[in-house]
Amino acid sequence: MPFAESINSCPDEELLARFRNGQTEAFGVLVRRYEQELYGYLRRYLGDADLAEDVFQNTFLQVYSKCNQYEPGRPVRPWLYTIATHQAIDALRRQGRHQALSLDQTLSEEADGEVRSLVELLEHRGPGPLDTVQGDERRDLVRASVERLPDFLRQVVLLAYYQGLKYREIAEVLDIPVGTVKSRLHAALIKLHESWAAAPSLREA
Amino acid sequence: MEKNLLGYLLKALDDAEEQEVRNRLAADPVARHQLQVLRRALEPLEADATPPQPPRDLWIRALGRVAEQHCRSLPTAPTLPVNRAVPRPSWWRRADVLVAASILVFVSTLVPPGLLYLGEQNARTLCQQNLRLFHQALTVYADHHDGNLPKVEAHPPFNFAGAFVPMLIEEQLLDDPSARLTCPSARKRPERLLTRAEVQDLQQRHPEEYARLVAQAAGSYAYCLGYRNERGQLIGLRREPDSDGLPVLADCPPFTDGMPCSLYENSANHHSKGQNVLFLGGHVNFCTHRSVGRQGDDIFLSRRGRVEAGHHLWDTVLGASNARPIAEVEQE
Repeated sequence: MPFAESINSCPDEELLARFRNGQTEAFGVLVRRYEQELYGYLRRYLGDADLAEDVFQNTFLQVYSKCNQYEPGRPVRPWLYTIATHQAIDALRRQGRHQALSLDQTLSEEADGEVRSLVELLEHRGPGPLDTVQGDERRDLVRASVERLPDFLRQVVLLAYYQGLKYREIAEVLDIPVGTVKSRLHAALIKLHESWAAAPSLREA
Repeated sequence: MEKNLLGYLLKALDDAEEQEVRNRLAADPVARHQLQVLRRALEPLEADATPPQPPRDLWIRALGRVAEQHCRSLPTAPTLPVNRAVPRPSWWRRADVLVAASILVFVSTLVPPGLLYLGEQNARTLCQQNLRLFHQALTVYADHHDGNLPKVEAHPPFNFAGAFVPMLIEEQLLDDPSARLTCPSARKRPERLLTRAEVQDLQQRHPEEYARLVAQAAGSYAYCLGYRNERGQLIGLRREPDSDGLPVLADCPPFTDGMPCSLYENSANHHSKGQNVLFLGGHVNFCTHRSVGRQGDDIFLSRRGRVEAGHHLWDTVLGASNARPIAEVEQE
């Protein structure tokens, strides 16, 4: 197999191992491989194309600098998302847009007795504005409602639904327990459906 | 259970949890009903499922940024008394250059359609590095000369744009100047670098050799010819509070023998797609057209459309090595 084909087919972990051993072209393969996926995540998370591009580049600057901190054998994908998420949070902080997680939010999501049932909410919900729109308008409404979620909820929706990470991987990226990931996703969907059912506020998005 | 059903729908569970949910679904109709409801809960998110597309060649720019960040060591401008030796700026280590080059060059073998584009981007980035290092040398020079940059003179032997090079060499502000004067894309390398004394000697004793070497003294780059004030005196650039946006150095213009061949043509260094321009404040831009001086000024021609010193401070003219601020006929 030609060299170019062989390195392209290496798994992420092997690419990073080769890069750590001095095969610098492996780094380029890794950047290209994650271009669409990581940019897409950052674009959704940050809500700004220019900022997403900047953070994407900063992410791989960090990957290059910190490759010696990567533990061989660990999955690379969550590690990349961890760096990207930290860079995104830093970028939001510099813009004054990052919402620090409050203690009340932390407590409320851990108290099982206070977690409402998404199933019950949906079964008792009537039709809302989202049910009457299609195409680009529906997409814009959904996107705006996700962007309005608090950071700690938006992160799990993006990582779980749009980026397809497993709960365990999301827990690693966000440095929270798996149970918290599940709770936050659950809470995020409840919030989203509440916002989709509220006619005036949704239209204002 | 509801949270694990969500995870099951999103394929976010571990194998053991997923099997547990499957077993539950097989045995419990309530769980199956809940699954259907939760599936509907996720449906609206599908409206925005198309992933945002990255800008073209984002990955190449990311590599370029990594190479730029990790392969230069920028010295701080020393603030030393004039009579002390000026420390030489440290330049790229060879190992760093090889790392940067291997990242960028080898990746190009993986992307045949982007190979040429990657090479062009690499050349532009390295050319910009050259200009930034020139800025450091010019800054130190200005520190030693009351804020004045090297000035192209009105009369021989230093009345050519490339005369700034012997001035920087004399003060030992350029390390490996031959490489620094060569745009990686153009590969127009000066044959011989002259000191001020050599320039004077050649002009008097070997005028033909003087003319030949003057034409290549600045290598791939063009330098500011200065401007004439109301009294007709030739003035060079100096650092002023409002002067950060003045062009100082750039890829050389698409002219031969000092005569313009087109009012719109870019430097040939980067396949006529544009030119890297160093501004007095230190920033370097790749400009796809020439009207990037103050108020849209053409950086290669005066307001009269000639290769000559400007007619005021904002009338920037960057000349190739043998460009003269004042025509010889006018001097006589």
